[in-house]
Amino acid sequence: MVLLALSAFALVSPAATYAATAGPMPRAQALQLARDGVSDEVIRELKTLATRGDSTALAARIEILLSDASLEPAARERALETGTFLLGALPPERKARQVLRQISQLEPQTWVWLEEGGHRVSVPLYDPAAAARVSERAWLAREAEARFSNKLGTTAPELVDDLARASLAERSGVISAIAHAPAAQLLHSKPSILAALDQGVAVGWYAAEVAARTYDSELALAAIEHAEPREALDMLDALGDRLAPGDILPLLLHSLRSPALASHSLFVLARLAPVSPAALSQIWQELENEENGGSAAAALARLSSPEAAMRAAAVTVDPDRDDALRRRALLALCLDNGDAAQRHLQLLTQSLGDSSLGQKASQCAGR
Amino acid sequence: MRRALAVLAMLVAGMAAPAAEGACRLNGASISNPDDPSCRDAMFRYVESATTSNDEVTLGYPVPLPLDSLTPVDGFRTYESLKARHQELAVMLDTVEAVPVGQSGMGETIVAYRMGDSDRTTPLGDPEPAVLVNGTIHAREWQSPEVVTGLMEMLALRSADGGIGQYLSDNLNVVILPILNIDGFRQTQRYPERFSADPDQPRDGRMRRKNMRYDGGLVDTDLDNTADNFQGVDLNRNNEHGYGQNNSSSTDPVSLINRGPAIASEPEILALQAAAALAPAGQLRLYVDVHSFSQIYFAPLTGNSRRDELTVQLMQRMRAVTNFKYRDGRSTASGTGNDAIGTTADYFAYEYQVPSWTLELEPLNGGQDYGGTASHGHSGFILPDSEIARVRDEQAQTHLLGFYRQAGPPNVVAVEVRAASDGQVVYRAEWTGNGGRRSLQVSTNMALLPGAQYRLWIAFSKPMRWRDENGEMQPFAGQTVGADSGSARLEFPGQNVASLPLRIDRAAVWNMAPGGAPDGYHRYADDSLSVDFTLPANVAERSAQPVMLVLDNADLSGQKLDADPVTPVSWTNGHWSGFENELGEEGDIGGLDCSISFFAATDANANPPADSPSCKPAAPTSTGGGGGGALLWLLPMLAGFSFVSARPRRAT
Repeated sequence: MVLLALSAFALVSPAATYAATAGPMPRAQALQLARDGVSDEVIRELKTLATRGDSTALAARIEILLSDASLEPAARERALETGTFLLGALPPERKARQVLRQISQLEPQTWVWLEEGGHRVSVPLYDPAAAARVSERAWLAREAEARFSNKLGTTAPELVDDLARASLAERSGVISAIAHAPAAQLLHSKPSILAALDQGVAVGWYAAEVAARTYDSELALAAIEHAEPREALDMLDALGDRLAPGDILPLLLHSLRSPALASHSLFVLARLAPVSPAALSQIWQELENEENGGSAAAALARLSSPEAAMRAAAVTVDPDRDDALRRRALLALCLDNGDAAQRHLQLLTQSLGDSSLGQKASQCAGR
Repeated sequence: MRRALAVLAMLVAGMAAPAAEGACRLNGASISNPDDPSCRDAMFRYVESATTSNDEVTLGYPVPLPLDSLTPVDGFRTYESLKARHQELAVMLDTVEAVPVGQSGMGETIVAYRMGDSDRTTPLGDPEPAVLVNGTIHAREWQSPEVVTGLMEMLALRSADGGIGQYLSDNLNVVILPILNIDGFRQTQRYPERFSADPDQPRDGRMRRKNMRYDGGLVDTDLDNTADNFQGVDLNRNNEHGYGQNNSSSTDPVSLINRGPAIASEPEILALQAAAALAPAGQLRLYVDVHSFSQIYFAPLTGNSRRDELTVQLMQRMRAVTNFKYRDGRSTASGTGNDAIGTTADYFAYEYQVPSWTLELEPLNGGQDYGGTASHGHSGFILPDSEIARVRDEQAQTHLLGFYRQAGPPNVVAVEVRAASDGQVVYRAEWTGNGGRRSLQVSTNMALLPGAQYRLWIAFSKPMRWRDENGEMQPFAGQTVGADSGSARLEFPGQNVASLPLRIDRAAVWNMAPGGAPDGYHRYADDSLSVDFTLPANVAERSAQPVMLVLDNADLSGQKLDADPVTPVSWTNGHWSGFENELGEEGDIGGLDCSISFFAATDANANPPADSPSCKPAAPTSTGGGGGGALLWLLPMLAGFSFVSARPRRAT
């Protein structure tokens, strides 16, 4: 009854009544205030309620905290932040939603010096509102996971539309669902996803995720074309470790034509090169490419092989080759700390003399 | 791609215990119980979402992991990739020179990059000024190497753009030291998700701030070998000017702000000084040390009032580029010069009397600014992958403006007048010099005829206007000088003829194509303008009379003209020198340019008048120091102009 009464009071006490503290303080002082015995006890209480899985009771207890003047502001924020995370792990019942909404409006009260000496700028030690927003998104993600886990891999016509409309939080839930779904099931929806991508529907992220899960080359190619660059890069990274060279190579060749993906793809090719002559050959080919040549040089340097160093040196000294190509070959030597490369570099500084290329070779040798 | 989604599915499974808390006893920036295993050996891990573990700290967004890529990505590049990128620029471009400036404690070569053309003089023959940007002095501040590398990429990309980038390449040495604390930075990248030893004052692994040296030895790179995890020197407290002062550093080797055993004891600081010598140091006009976080410019004020004022002005112009979301953090002891704490920004502010600051990049508060958590007030060191590309671009734009401004105020470099009827050049003059005083070389000086039409072409020393990606003239971000700025007029001293305004306040007059006079730019896009005029019919009715061009213009950062191009502008003791207003007074503001005059006569073969007019009054009337009062001269001049210099000029 007391709890209910307090809850009712809290409901009419807006978050704004949450008392402001004085200015910024040393971190140690703030922590001392935050970790008093009372707040330790409150946090134990919150964890007990969470362990019972009673979202409404936990929310009600957190609501009381909002206006609990007996707690130091720092201690209250610590407890609120903890409680907010705990609430996010429980089902989003009405009361829990209501309380998180309240907390998400709070301004941080406890500010600490970012640096204890010198530049005096302060940051919040706790930010219950930020934690509340994180928890609210976690609810969205869990709901999406539950909602999509049965739909993924089906040919339901609305699946693609739902995926395209998914918020970022919901995508997290979908990705979690993908991780738990059987690979074969996921591929049932492949035709509709590919068709949607062709029509410009924004489900590249989903294609990339499913490709990484199923190792499906067709989806991976589509993801390279349509996903955001970082999504495609992460997919290539994942597949690079899992697919056989013969399977990953076509994907990498495709990604070399994308300015946002090419550089990283060359590093993935360098990982394959010791066991894949085709990968090595492609790196050399890319050295001649104006856009990708620098990254190809870095990929060759990563191999740090005497053979590569010798070939790079030969290109560098060849006056019949294009100046830019010679420079890229020189770059491969510059970036290679191996003995062979360094030896060639020393020789080049002598043979190229005071030419522009020779000066660059000297700069490299000086490093 | 889970990480790219930038959203968490936190607490999806299991119960949370999200409040990881450490056992270290904090004592300011130090720790009272560094040998206590419960503190020293504690390890934590950043995670996107909270789990049941007590040793995890929730970020609320994907934990950034460094990626191999020479080209910029939505995220953070590995040290090896960044280094390769820097060297790629240096090897491929003659405008980038890589210079080893030192060696880290662990034997890594610290490299500075000098960006700009290979000579050390401007096209006008003056010694090139310089700016110095330092990155990654604090290892965990990953925003810094990305932003500084972004500056290098921007300058390289623009070095032959025919506009502002080429102007900087020709006129400014930009020295960039992208990764100073290599050993510390590599340590953070070895453990991108892990740190020791307390979430409230995290130290080694991803959260290392200091270098890896201590007491003559080196911190081992194994995070789990905890005996030396607290060691290292804070390189930003190891500098002359404020070293050990103002209670802002410590001799305690486990302190986060351990200043090291002596001033400049650390090889990285010596490397920074060597990088400054590339400028060379005497030519420096700006120093920026790029850090994160808290979104602020910490600018030491040295008590040199002109330097301090110019620092604040420059800072304001640069802050305006991002709409003042970065804060003004000038030091509070203005005028006393007593608040230095041994930072690199202190060193350059006091030692070289140049604008100098510590730039703290985003975020303002922490990861919560992007939907994440405060994470004990430290998540700001971990900018989400999804934000860094924007920050890079914003800072590239900001520094483009700052470099442009510090390259020097604009001045008129050439003027030409052509007759509209037949295109004949009737006047042509150019300021020339060879590192000292300049002189106006007048190659053509024929009479302008009353009532006739002419095209006037005026070239400045730098691009004066900015265009967006569509070629439309716009004020540079946050600035005010745009198409409708500036004014020019012809004055007819000694004659009862009203001045003739020239309509230069419109985009159409500015030349964006090469070719020089009469319709192309001089050296850089938008460094010149072309405007038509008709000489009043009632000038020079009785004899040849001077026609004075009066220009009031500002560059795209709002810096006004150096009114006396005879004396090249340079930087001395914290302020501009040789930067005059129209009265000939040196200062930091500039003024109207009246250095160009041609003449009018009814006889096309007439000789020019013996004397040339000037804005300067016949006798000194002002004691102001730094410009201002710019229009006071107009009334006496219009009533009866006093010629103060005599420089006969003859048509060639």
